[in-house]
Amino acid sequence: MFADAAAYERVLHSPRFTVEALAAAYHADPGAVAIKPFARLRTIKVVLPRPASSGSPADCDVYGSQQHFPLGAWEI
Amino acid sequence: MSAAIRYLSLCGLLGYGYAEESLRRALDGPLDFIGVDGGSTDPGPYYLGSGKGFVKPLQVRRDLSLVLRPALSRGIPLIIGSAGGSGARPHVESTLGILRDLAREQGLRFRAAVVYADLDPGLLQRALSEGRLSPCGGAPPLLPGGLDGLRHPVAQFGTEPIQAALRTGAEVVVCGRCCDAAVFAAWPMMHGIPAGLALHAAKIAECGALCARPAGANDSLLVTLGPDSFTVEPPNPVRRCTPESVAAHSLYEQPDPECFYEPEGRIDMRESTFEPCGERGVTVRGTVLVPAAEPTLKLEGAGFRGCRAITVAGLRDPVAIAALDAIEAGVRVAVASAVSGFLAEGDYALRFLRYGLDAVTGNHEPPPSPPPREVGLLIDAVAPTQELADTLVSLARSSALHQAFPGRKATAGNLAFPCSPSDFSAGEVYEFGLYHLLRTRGLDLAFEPEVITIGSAP
Repeated sequence: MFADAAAYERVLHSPRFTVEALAAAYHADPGAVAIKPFARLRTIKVVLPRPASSGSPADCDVYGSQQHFPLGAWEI
Repeated sequence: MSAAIRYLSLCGLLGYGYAEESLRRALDGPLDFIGVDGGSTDPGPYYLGSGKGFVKPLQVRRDLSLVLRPALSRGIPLIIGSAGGSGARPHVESTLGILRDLAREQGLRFRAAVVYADLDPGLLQRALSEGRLSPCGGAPPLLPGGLDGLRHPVAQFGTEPIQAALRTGAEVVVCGRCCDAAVFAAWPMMHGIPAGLALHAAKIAECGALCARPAGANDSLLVTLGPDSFTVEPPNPVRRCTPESVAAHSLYEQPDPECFYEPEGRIDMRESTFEPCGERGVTVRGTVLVPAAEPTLKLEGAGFRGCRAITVAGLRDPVAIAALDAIEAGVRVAVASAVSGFLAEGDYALRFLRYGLDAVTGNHEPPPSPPPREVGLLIDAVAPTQELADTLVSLARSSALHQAFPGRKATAGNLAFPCSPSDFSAGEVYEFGLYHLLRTRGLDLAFEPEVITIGSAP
């Protein structure tokens, strides 16, 4: 949750924070990436496709719990 | 105005535990039913494929042992969803076994309605050939032959089969794989609560007190529903719900925080309001159901992909850490050569996961600079049999331990093993071979309840 509405708006509308930029960083198909603003809670949900099906031989994060990086280290 | 409905979600997942105090406090008031969800695909396809639970029988036993007698003695139906974790027949049988043990030990006798979710292979084949299956959540399309060797295909059924089970008058309803929300929405929808409210409340309730603060999937949640609102409140006085904590729950386990999908349709929360109710409750209004134009069910099935063995070790030597690519390449060559008489290179997978470097986010991030002081190495082999996987890891481990690399100074061994034995057989590996939506119109897909008696006559 962003601390205030200004921070939320700044990130949401930043030219750095786009579906294309996310797809490039995560080596994903842009058509499978989504940015879902949730203004009620000043939160933005990002949807990213899995590189490997959960728990399949090639998977390395069964719950997908740690894939908020590299996004978490972005500077806006 | 119809009388309010009040129910208890025992905990976020059967076996995760809950405070005894929560159950005791909830029972101080009237309850229409007690529900608990047992299922999840989050831990991966192994549990569906293997027929095992991802929580241990002793955990399930503990959670049921406290609630069974008070529910039966007060005439409160107990609804268990996705029994045994994955909800296929062996998982359901495991839960029924625990109920039988408890009935014997506690001197209880009751009628249980069991709803199996297993799918007939013939029906699945027909659905595939009729083009009724479409991938769900990024799954690849099913190819002809994609159903071969699939273990435990199940459908995640919705509220209707649970309502049919409740109408039998059974005291306990044990469901195979079903929608988490259906466990908690079936009764309210049967009793006139609008489906949008009933399903939204259920979606929150199925996680126990996860929507409270402090959050706790390992504790209970009380839900009260009326014709135009519902209220959630944790019975445990150490927790409270806030409008933010309850609204935030819709960020969890669904791609869009403003809506989610159930077999009944799309639950739209764009107009929902969240207001405090008393000190620790939250009242929600305004959620609506947009009924599905085309009825669908989500199917799950596990494809067998081989057996796994692993070894875990650490590296401290900075020259070895810098040479990990070369070490890995050398080990791959050595292993391929050693197994060439009995295993072709294309028939196994060998992974080197380098914790501290790139095991978690891979090539999504540049390598850390400077390199870390220590790196954890997990060598993972998947092969057609356990014996072959064990052999691969044994060879990879000994090769990696002694592998030469440019600039090597220390020759005592490249790896620090924390355990002896250093290698572990990890069992079968599966993949969600079936993770698809099935268009059900015109199919004979009734999930009929089977009523059984558990416990013997006094």
